Amino acid sequence: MMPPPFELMVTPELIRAAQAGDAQAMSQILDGLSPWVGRICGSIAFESGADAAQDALIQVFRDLKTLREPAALRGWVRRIATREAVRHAQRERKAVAFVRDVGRSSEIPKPNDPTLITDIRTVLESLSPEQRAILVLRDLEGLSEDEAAQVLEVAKGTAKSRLHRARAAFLERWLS
Amino acid sequence: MSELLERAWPEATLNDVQRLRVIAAGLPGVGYAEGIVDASIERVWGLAGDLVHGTPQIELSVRSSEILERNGDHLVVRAQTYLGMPIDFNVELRFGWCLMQSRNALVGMAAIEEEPGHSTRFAHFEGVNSWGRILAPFFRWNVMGDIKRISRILRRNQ
Repeated sequence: MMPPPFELMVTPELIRAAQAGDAQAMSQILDGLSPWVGRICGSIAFESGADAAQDALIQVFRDLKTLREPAALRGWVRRIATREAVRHAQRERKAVAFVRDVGRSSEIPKPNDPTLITDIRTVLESLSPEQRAILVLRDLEGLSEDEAAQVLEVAKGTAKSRLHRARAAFLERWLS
Repeated sequence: MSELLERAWPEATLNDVQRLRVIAAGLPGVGYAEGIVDASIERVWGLAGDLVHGTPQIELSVRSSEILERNGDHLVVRAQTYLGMPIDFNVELRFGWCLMQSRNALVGMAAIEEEPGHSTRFAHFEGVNSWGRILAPFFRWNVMGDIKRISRILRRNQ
């Protein structure tokens, strides 16, 4: 997997400048962080992904001064983004009746058919926010079970069983 | 399947007003406000984004403004205030987005369509990058006035 571009864009010097109140350094950091945070939040919170990404980044920028070690930025932002995305997704889930038709077309789409992406998205959306979060951390972000458990603030065993259930639910709904 | 699965995860994108909210959150010395202006984004940004002709109409403290340098989206702008002191700003400017920074002063503006062709959500902050939060309420009051002024100017010029 290609390294996320923000690692090249968000240098320790830029972080120090932003911590000193440099708005244009903040803007560059935002350019670097927002596609990655948008991917985490969009994948977990779907419809409310942009709001979740905004709230996560507001928290990041408000508390940026407290970040002592620039190398810790990635883990710190990932934790905040995942937590905000799950929170937004849970809130939306309570507000909207979560009845989705995950019925599939009887025709089998070709690999590059956009409907296939749409179908996968529909199945992903039907999972719970917690299940999507563990799938994002393990399969999209490539974290180990230990690391994913730390981000989600759950025991390793909980993360493991949640991942197992998420994968099983995905397969079951995909194949149904 | 795994490649498809990776492509299927949706990516959320921040609009320019959301971007400005994020930047403002990191600047305790600025006052932030946003409002709806009853005009198309082209008219709103035609005024607010025109730093030479628009800014002196909106900002009561600015007598005139000139562009000293331009390199793509990056400009150096000199604002002449009524107090007599010129302030040079490094500016990031594109349609719907403007971020200005001098040695002490900070200005941000962003606009997105609210109702296409009819109304625009306009976000604005001003402030300083020192003095903590002390002056933020004053700046907030000031930027709320700027947004009302933009509405008034555009109504008058209809």
